Order: sequence, then C-alpha cells, then structure tokens
Amino acid sequence: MAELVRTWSVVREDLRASRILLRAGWRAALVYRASFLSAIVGGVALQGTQLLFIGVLLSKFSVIDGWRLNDVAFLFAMRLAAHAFYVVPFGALVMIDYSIQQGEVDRYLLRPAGIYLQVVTRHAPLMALGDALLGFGSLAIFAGQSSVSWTPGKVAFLIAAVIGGGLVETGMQTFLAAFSFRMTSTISLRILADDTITRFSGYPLTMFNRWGFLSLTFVFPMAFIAYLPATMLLGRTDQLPTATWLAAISPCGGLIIFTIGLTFFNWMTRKYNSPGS
Amino acid sequence: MPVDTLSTRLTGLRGLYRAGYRSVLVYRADLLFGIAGLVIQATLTVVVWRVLYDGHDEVAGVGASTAVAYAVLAACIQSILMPWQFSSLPLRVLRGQIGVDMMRPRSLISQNLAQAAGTMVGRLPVGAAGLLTGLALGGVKAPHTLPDLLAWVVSMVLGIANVMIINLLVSMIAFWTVEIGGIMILYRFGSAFLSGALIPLWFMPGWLQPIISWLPFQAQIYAPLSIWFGTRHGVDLLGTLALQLGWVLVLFVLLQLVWRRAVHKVVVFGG
Amino acid sequence: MPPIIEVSDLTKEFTRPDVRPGRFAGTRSLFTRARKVTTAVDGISFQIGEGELIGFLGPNGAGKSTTIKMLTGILVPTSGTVTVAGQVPWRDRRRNARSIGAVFGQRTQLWYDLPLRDSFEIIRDLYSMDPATYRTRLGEFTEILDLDEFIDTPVRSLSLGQRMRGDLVAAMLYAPPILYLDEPTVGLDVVAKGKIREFVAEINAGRRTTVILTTHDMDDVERLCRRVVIIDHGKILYEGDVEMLKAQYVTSRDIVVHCTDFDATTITSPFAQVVSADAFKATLRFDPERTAVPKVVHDLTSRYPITDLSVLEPDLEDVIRQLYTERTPNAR
Repeated sequence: MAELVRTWSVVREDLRASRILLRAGWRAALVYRASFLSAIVGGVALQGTQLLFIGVLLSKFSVIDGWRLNDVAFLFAMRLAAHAFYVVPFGALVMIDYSIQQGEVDRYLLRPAGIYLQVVTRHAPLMALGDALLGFGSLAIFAGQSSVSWTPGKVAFLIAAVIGGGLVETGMQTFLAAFSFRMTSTISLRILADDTITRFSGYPLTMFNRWGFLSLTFVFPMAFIAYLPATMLLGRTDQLPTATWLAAISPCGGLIIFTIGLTFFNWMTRKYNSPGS
Repeated sequence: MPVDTLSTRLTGLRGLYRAGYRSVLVYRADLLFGIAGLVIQATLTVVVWRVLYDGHDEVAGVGASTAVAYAVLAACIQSILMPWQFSSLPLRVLRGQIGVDMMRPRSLISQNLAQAAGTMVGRLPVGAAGLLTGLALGGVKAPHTLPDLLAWVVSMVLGIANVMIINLLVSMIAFWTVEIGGIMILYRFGSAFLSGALIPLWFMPGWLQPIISWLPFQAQIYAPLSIWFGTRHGVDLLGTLALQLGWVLVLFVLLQLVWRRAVHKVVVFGG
Repeated sequence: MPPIIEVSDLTKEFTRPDVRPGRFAGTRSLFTRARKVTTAVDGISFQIGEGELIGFLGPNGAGKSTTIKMLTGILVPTSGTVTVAGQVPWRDRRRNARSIGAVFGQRTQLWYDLPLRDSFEIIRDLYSMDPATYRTRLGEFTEILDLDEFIDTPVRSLSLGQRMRGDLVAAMLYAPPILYLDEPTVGLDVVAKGKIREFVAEINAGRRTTVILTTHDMDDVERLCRRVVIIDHGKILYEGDVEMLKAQYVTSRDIVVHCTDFDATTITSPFAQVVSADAFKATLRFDPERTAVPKVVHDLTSRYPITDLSVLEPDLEDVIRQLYTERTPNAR
C-alpha cells in the first residue's frame, strides 16, 4: 500500500513537471517563428511521400495481397495517425544521443523529475504537427471510404488502436534509445527502425510469409501498429497465421510494449557515463 | 608563394575527400546499421513488388522482373548518393566556421564537392550489401548489351554530378536562414519521389509524367536506370544523355550564381 | 560539526573501446571489440561537515569531476559508498535533487532560448516554491549579483560571467543545504570572479550552506576555503587545513628589500641568503623554522637604510605545484 502511494506521488510529481517543462519547450520553440512553417511542411513531406507512393502503385495495380485500394489506404492512414501519437508527445526522443553527448543528462539527473520525462520534453517537436495534420486528415478521409461498416464500437476500437499503435512505436523507439547510455550513437539504429516502420508497416503484413509475419509481430512488433487492429475492423482476421484474439486485443499491445521499453530505459539510466572526466 | 598547379590543387582536395570518406568510417555503427537497413529494405521491397505483380504479366509495359530489379537497384544507388547528412555546410555556417573555410586556398564549392564525393565512396559498402541481397533473392538483372552498360556508366556519372550539385545548392540555403531542417526533409523526400528512386516514371499517372520529365531530379536515378534496362536506343538514348549533361551545366552555373550571392552576404553581413 | 557528506572507499572504473592506431585503423575498428578499463577514482574516503566550505582540488584528469558526479548522483559508483544528507544520491535521486544545488562551469542548466527570468520561474515551479519566498530570495540574490541589467535577456545572448551568475542563482533559489560548484570562475574577469566569491561566501556564512568547490584558481581557495581535499590519479594526496598545508610544504620565506641610497647588491645577512639583487632591490630567502621573521627584518633594517621592505606570503599555487610534482614523479 505504501509502495502504491509512493508510486502515485511520483506519477503526480512527473505530470506536474511535464506540464512545466512542456510549457518551457513550446515557449522556446516559438522564439523561432520562421521555423514553424518549414518544420510542418517537412513533417508532411516525410510521411506524404509514402502516401503518394502507395497511391501511385495502387492506381496501377489496384489490389495488393487481396486488399483493395480503399482498404490499403485506410491501413496506411491508421499507421500515419498512430505515428502522430508517437511523434507529438515523444518526438524529442530523437535527440537522446545529443543530450547524452553534450552532458545534458547530467542536469536531468540533478532535477526532481523523471529522466525519461525530461528527455521527451526537452524541446517541442514542431515537425510532429505536420505528421499529425497528415495522419488525422488522411484517417478522417480514408476511414469513410474503407469497407468497414462503422458502429460506435468500431469507432472506439479504432481510437484505442491508433493510440495503442503510437505507444507501440514509442515503446520500440524508447527501447532502442536506451542503448544510447552505453553506445556513442544509436541514431542510425533508430533511423533504421523508423524507416522500416515508415515504409512497410502500412502493408498487409501477411504478404511476408509466415516467419516474416511472426517476427514482425513478436520480435520487431510493428504488426501491432496498424495491421493487426485493421484486420479486426475489416473482418480479415482469417488471413492471420495467429489466433484471432491477438487481433482483438491488439490495441493493448502498445501498453505492454511501451512498459517494456520504459522499464528498460530506466534501468539503463544507471549505466550512464557522463561525458568529460 | 607556391605555384598553384593542377596537381597541388588536387592534393588539397584529396585531403577533404579523405575527410569525407573517413567520417563515414568513424561512425562505424552508422555504417553497420546502414548496411543492415538496406539488406532488410531490399528484401522487403522484393517481396512487395512480387506480391503486387501477383496475377499481372505486365503493367504499363513493364514486366515483374524488371520492376523488382529497378526497385532494388534504385534503393542501392539512393543509399549511396543520399547520406543522412549530405553536407557539413549548414552546420559550419551555423557555427560561424564558414569564415575559416573561405580563407583556405581552395574554393568552397570544390571543398564541399570533394567532401561529398568522399562520403559517397565511404558509403559504397552499404550499396554493395543491398546489391548482394538483391542478387541472392534473384531480383537483379544485368543490362542486355555492352553498349547499354557503357551508356549507363556515362549516364550514372552525370546523375551523380547532378545529385552532388543539387545537394550543395539546397545546403546553401543555410546562408539565408538557420532553420533549414524542414526544407532539407522536404527536399530529401520530394527528390526521392521525383527522381524515380521510389517508383519508376513508367508507373506515374499520365498527367504527372510530363511535369516530372521537365524537372532535373529524374536525371539523377530514373535516367541511368532506364538505360540499364535497355528501354532507350539511338536518338532516344543520345537525347537522354544530352538532357542529363544539359542539366549538369545549368545547375553548375546556378551553383556559381548562388555561391556568389552567398559570399557577398557573408562578406557584407558577417557569417 | 556533524558530517553531512560521508564518502568511504569510493571507486569508479570506466570501460572504453581500445583503439589501436595504424593502417586501416578506421576500417579495423568496425570489427574490434577490445576494451580497456581505467580507474578514475580509486578508493577514496573523506567527510565533509555541515556548513563547511571545502576546496576540492587536483590537476586535470585527477578524478575530481568523477567524484563530484558520484556525490551528486549523476554517476553510479563501481564500489564504495556515498551518503549525502543521509541519502544515497543515485538511489534516492529525486529526494537528493531537492537537497543539492550544482553549478558546472562548462555547462549551463538554464533554458538556452528563454530569458533568464523564465528559467528561474521554471525552477520555482519544478521545486514547488511558494511565490513569496521566491520573490524575496530572487530579490536578495539579484542585489548581491547585480542581475537587474540582464535578467530579461535570453540566456544565449549572455556573457560567460552573466550566465555563471544566472546559474548560481538557479542552483540556490530553492535553498538546498548543499551546493556543488565545479569551476565556477573559470574564464571570468576579475570583477565577475569577485562577485561570485562574494556570493559564495554569503550563502556559506549567512545561510549555513555546505559548499564543495572544485577549482584551478588558488585565489578562490585562499579567499574562500579553510579546508581542502586534493586528489591526483584517483587517490587523495592531502586532506586538511590550508594553513597547515602551507606550513608543511613551505620551507622558506622571501623578503624583498627596496633602497635608493646605496647599491642593493651589497646586502648580506647572517640569517638569509640573497636570491637576486640589482641596484634598487634585493630578494632574500630564509628558513622560518630556524629564524623568526622579526629577527631577520630587525637585522636588515638596523644595518641598512632601507626605504621599503615586504615579507612575501607563501603562495598556495607553488605549494600545490610542488605537491603534484613530488607525488607523481613520472606523470607528464
């Protein structure tokens, strides 16, 4: 019980601290007004090319692994929206190498707030607004055109799935970022993960044979980002080589993966070797 | 006062070329993950295109094996030509080190081009790994004829020159604004789409094709690869090479103009 | 004075990849996994009393910063124990954070793009200070450190001295009982150094804050510290009083004599040796253990028409230099 009270007070303290630090981050970002538009355009361009890519392909091929254009577009949109739930709150995670190399983490360790929290509130990720714009915009358009017959229950499932998908990506990136406490640079590893997710998590993943699919579900769990919940909404769970219930509870995958990532991250903070002797 | 011969000039630039090459090797993790990344990407790309072609013999006049090979080769070439940081120029402008660079006895343009060439050579192992993956999966085709191969070499050199000049041009925006992160990303992904690195122009919708063919980006990757796959002959082939050469000349003149304005800005307002 | 910081047998080792120079070093480093262990801090023990102002000295790379980082909870020790105000810093990190303030001269803890005042307000909120206390304390600090002229300037536009003053205030706003200062005066001009010393003396004497000061500036030490801990190669070389240190290492004192009416090169003394002399000035050296200062002075003034005379204070800088070279004959 006492343990629970202590945990709760830490959580409350962190929420308060994150409000304070986020406000500071946004205020600092607004100092450079000119960068605002440029960053948002960059965010739209990054994910937008993927949307263009799939759009051009499907205009020629119209079907991919038995999925029609409108459903693939919906799957892509789900992934884009989930991505926004990663980059908007946690986008500053990208800077972890820099924070460690420059010894900023020294200062985080001296403050009465969580390390992870201070890392993710380090600056306001302006580019993420472009991701959010594109993600939520395309989801709003393509959800209506997909073959899902929407009910309030399905809408709720979709919202949970998109937030969960964001947490899956966050958890994976957090796990990889934790290695920065031991390695000089993990940016290329994280770009590799990000790139793989960006390029391929919007496809019907069962197209990569059985073992490919299983490793994308349990080893590099990007199937939880959009594909698994989408099969549930589209009634295509019969395609899966795994049990149907896995798709049904897939929105919870985010919580589990994020918890694993965060626990590992916090454990690795003890391995921190501050730069400079 | 040493005489500035061609050979002393080249020696100076070789140092910068080596700096670019070494900077790739120093970050060994980046290189190893770059290799792993392209192996994964090439594998998944082959699968995606094969699944797409399931049930089609030809789409837009292109067969499955050509489409797969195009996707793999384009990914390999792009991984060499487009490293994450394609010039140290913006950072040096931001930190005010550009003044020192300008005092060196070589022009800033050749310094940057030499360094970019070094970086590309340093990234050759990444491209090679992707190519091997493609070969292992049976997803790569050689050119039909020897003349095609020779024409491809010429075309690829022109494509590389094109990429290097545009990369530097875009980096030079740093002289006018410090906030170029968004512009760089727009350029990176925009050019990936327009150069044919993601999708060959064959598959682009009819209304988009003429627009893209009038932009310089298609001369970077699409033009050499279309020669590789033997889709251009005679006048068409010569026309393609002439257009590529034309773009390199135009872009180089543009680079000199922009550079002159940048120098003016640094001299008048400080770096 | 009860100890507020207790360090016993503290050790920190670092493991780094072992890079061998030579041909293809870059390419080879892609595959090698050779590692090298270095011991930065090697089993040191000491105590610091509540309200003390202690100097923590040592040459570059001696293990000073590593020790300070373990005391503040930034680094986890390889072995040994640290307790600061009854807590283990790295384990009770949050509670420890509230009882310490820290200024690392090389790095700022302020928000780079925001005005200095905003950083103070963020800290006020982070440490849940009540507005009244915050206002009074900021007012007092502003007065001692003359913050008025730049408190609304963005941190990135501040001079080094201004930024350092801002960092000091940020570290002391929430009145932690312990303050760590790592090279707070490095690179500052005389005026700025003076301000910072004044502030440190004030918070130590007036507010009973325990201060741990690392510095290379012996003026800082002479003006502020009574006790010092000196380390080199990760081990303690000396721990104790500054005056005792001088007494122990200074075996000779110098007297400088000025004269106008006769040639100073003719000066001799039965108690002291002439070290240097020209027409107007002579420097003599004697052993204070054997001869008392007044005796030497009296002898000189009674025999020569001297216009001015001064006894040089032992220089801590020299003492420290002597200490380093003596204990580490093969270093450098």
